[in-house]
Amino acid sequence: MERDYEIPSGLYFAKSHEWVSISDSIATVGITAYAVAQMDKEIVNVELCKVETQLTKGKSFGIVDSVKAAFDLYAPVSGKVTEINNTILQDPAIVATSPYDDGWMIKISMSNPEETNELLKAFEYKRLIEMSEE
Amino acid sequence: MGCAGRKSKLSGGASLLKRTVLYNWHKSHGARMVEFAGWEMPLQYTTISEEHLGVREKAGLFDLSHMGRIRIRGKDRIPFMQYLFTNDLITMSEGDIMYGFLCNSNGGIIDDITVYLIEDYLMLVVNACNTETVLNWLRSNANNFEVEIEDVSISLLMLAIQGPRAQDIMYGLSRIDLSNIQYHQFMIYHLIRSKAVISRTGYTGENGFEIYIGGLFFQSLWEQLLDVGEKMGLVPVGLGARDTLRIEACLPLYGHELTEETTPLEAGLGKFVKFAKNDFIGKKALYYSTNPEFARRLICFEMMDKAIPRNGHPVMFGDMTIGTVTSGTFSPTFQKGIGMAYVDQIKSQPDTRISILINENPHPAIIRKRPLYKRRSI
Repeated sequence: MERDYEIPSGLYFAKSHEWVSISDSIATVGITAYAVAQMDKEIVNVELCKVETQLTKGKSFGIVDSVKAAFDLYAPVSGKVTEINNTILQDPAIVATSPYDDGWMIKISMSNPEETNELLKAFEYKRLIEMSEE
Repeated sequence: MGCAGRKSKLSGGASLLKRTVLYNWHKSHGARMVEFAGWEMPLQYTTISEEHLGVREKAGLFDLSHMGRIRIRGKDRIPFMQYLFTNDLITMSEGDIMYGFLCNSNGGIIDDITVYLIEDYLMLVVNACNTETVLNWLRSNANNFEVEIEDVSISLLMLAIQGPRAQDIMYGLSRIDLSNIQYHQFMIYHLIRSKAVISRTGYTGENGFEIYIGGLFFQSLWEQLLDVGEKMGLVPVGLGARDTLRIEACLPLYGHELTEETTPLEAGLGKFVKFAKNDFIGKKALYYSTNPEFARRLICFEMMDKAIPRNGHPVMFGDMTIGTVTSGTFSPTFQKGIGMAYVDQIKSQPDTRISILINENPHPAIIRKRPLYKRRSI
């Protein structure tokens, strides 16, 4: 079993396995390496909401498909979608090969930046994964 | 991220699950194990696509220990099965295998099974999820027949080798030329010093064999096949690719396309129901169920965009709901979404433009002739 999933420090994490990178009031969102592994390491389709969509924390902002199953993507923070990664819509495999970098999904202009306090830090997310692996 | 719709759970790992004798082998070869029909089985060793294409292009090896194997002995074994089975065993000779159904009195499918006519007994191969149900069904209908029904799933294990190189690999192992085994026939040979039933059957749309051998020899056969087959491209294949392979070949799976609420006729498998033979359970209901006006039919379809259909998605014709997806997947061969669905018979013709409702959005699809995938030659 691969037990060591990359968990970059400096990012925030949702329990539903999205990561968030904060720069000013813009949150960039993707899914974690652990999430990719749970999707059998193969991502064959990504569907994202449109730019300008108003997201509420916890609401679905799209779908990722592995060969076998579809998974909902949940907004880790509330706000308006300012940009989506069109490259991954064309080439979804990028999410699996580069989940924290080229595989980013959406950027959200946060309406309530304090919501980041409710997200997990890297060490907390690592603990969450270790617990679910046991 | 969360599982969308009604999909299978990601984590297995309960201690009550049954394990195959290859459990440790699977784990030590990187398999991701999942729960399936009460068994802890390998989902994949590498990726589903890689294993899938491995089978299509060269060959793959499948641990099928979870499937049920039932032996029926006794002088009434043929009339007994004639009474329970939709197909007609009278046309069989030794070495033949017949596919068909056990139906309830409403014509609903209890299981789809294969029957092997071997020396002085019949062997039934049944779905893992139905082994108990089938045993109970057989026993509860055996009162007027002199038969012995025995579950041999634990002692007689089963693997499949499938793909264009399967026969060459079998020859490499055994020096036996299997080209004289016709489709849906079997022979009994000695493999690695044990008697084995080798049948030309499968569930992938490829040419290949299913092999039944005693439990003591199972791991040895598995390892020797991989040893011999490695240079011909043989790879172990998990249940993930087994599912994508069978969906491309439009082979039905119990619990999806086949249930107690569906009949073989709706599934388009009427050729395995023989109305000309004597009474069998479900015959009357099936005979009178053929009114086409209200009928639904199993179809296969491919997506016209990048969306991927899944079990349970509604099928639309314009604004009208005409059915439900029973199996859907990304197809590693065609690199797009494909699936099977039950739809109203009047809208079931190939080339009909339909749409699949995924997350409340209709996505364009087209009904295709079955099967979607057909291998090029023997």
